Amino acid sequence: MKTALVFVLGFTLSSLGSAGAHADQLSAREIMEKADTRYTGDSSRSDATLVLIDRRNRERVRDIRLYTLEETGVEKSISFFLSPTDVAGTAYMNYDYDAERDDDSWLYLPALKQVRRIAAGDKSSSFMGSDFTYSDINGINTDWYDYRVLQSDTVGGADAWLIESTPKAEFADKVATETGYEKSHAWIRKDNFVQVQSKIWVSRGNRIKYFSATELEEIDGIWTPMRLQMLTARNGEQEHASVFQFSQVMYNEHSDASLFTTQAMQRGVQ
Amino acid sequence: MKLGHWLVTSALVSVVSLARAEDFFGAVQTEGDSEDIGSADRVSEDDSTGSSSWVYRGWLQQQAAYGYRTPPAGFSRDQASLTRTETELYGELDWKSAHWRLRLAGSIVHDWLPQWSSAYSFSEEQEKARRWHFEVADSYVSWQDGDWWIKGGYQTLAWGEAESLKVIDVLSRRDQRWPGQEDLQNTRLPVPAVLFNWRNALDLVLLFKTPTDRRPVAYEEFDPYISLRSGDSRADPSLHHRRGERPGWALRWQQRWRGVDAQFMIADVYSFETAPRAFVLEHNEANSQANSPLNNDDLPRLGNVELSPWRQQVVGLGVQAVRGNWLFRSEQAWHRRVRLPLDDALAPWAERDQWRGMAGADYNGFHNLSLSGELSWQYTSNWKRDLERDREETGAAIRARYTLLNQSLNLEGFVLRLNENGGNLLRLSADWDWSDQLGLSLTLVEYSADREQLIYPYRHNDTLLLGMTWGW
Repeated sequence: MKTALVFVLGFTLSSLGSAGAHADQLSAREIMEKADTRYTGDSSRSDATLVLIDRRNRERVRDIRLYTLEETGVEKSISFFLSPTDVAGTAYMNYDYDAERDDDSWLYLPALKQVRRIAAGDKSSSFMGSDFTYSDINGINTDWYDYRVLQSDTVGGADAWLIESTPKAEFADKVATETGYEKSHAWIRKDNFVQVQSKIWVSRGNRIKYFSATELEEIDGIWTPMRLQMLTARNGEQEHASVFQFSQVMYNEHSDASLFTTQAMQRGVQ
Repeated sequence: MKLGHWLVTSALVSVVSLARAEDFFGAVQTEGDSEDIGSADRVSEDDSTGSSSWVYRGWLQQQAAYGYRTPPAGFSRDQASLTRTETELYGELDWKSAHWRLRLAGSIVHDWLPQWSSAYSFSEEQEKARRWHFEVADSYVSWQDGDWWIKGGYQTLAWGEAESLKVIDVLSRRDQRWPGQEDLQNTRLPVPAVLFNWRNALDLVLLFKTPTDRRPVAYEEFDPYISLRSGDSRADPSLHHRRGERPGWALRWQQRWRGVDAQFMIADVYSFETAPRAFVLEHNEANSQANSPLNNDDLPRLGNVELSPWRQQVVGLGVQAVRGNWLFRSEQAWHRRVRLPLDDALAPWAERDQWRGMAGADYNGFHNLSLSGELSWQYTSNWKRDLERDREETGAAIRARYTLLNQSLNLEGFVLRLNENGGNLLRLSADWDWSDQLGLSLTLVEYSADREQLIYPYRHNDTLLLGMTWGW
């Protein structure tokens, strides 16, 4: 499973094509793999507003421009923070390799005027203070899990499979380390294989996360949720929530590898 | 009956719990739900089509610093007191087109303390330094096409990460007026330079008329020449600061592999510090009235001191490597023709070569907590006993940063053991973002040094800083 923050931004036309007559005959694993291997464009560009909401409903809002580029064996992404003032000019770049090895990550802080390599080993940590973790953003390996279809369900009026993912015994420690999650339930829409909801049991703190992807639009033939929400609940009470609201999503608009360099981070938003 | 009641109650609780759980999938209402994306306010719509656009940002900052100990005699501050009440208005304007970019940035700054406080007397020079003035921040024009990126103007060139010693970070100017108290963005200051970057790998930098570090004026609490002052500015030696006139240059090759970054650099540049090159002694009757420790009835008066940066050649290597939650980093460099002070305070500094090194690590494995630490060392070749510094000297820095409360509160602790037998610095800070626009900060800076250490005269300049920033 290799997809950037845009992991739910799109699902493949080929997935759509296979969704029809054979859909109900697919195994849980096949469904998850179809959802995972969807085509999300060779590259993408989008603007996003990330809203962080605490238990008192106080909000912090960050405006971000995101680029991704799929290359052989690696998915590159770069995020430019546009506002608020204290983070404007910050850039985060990540190289997510197909092979089982640590990502490469760099951070440019305009106050320091310097690009610094950062350790991105802990994928269970929060992405920019949000409820999304780096493993949510960068993706995890589907081979680490056992899957089973629990039931068919309806989400937002659309038919969906409810699939349970539990880590295989031999990968349990790795999953706990890399994701911080115990297991999850995912709702995958039958018509387009979009993952529209997830319920995720967090290893520590008696927390459960609730993910939802809404406002689906078909952009350049790719189904794209324009709103992603992750809510963390503890003991049944909302603890924190994060919302990505996307706009100006474009696919395959660029193929410029020089955009994914430390020099580009210093140059600023493209 | 009781069992039935329990079953019904349990069922109801389950239904309610399920309903509450399902609510968590519902859309969380945000203040921005009814508004357009915020960035659209700041970046023109034309931007999406690749044509030109303007972006701005700025802030108004008010800062007050309180020195809560009494410095030793000789400084203008002679009691615990406010040391500055500074207002800064910062503005930054960016313009870009397909290949070109322009940034204009700067601050107007004023310290109200001389007007507001009569706790101690300021000299005319001190008052002038605190009046409204303009400070240029990074302001440049750049052009990028294909493999080339050229950037010319005032720019900050941060080439190293070591905090306890300059190893390969030899292209950035520092603000020495309030060491350890500066904001993050003022850690390094811009210099006039042209940068040529090729393929994100090779950097050539040309530096022109390199300014020296920003220094405090006479009798300020970190005046580096306080030992030359007499207490009477009319009787003080005049200090002549020269700047390097010859252009400097630096070349850097950067290479990035999976998990490892490396850079190799060579430079022929002026230092940003200054060293005394000549002391001119004068015979003066008034000398006998002066209180300087350097003056004595039997000695001529110190008339002029000529201070200038030194030209140095640096060859260095920097490496960062990632392993899990750890980031390991090291910098090593050979500095040729460094100037070092002698035991004789009235002798021009001696020229020596130095090997400087740093090894450190960052750890990001704790939730919301990042830790970093480093050790640094320097070795002076052809060392002689008349040097004030030891042949081998070490330094260290430890930093811990904890973020909490919806990313709105950052707590940071920083301990620095200065290299060159400098002394120690402790900095504790809390930065609280009241909102996305308004930030508050509280910082405590403590200095400590033994009698023979560099910052001994400044050991009582411990300061509490309170800041407020409104950004847009």
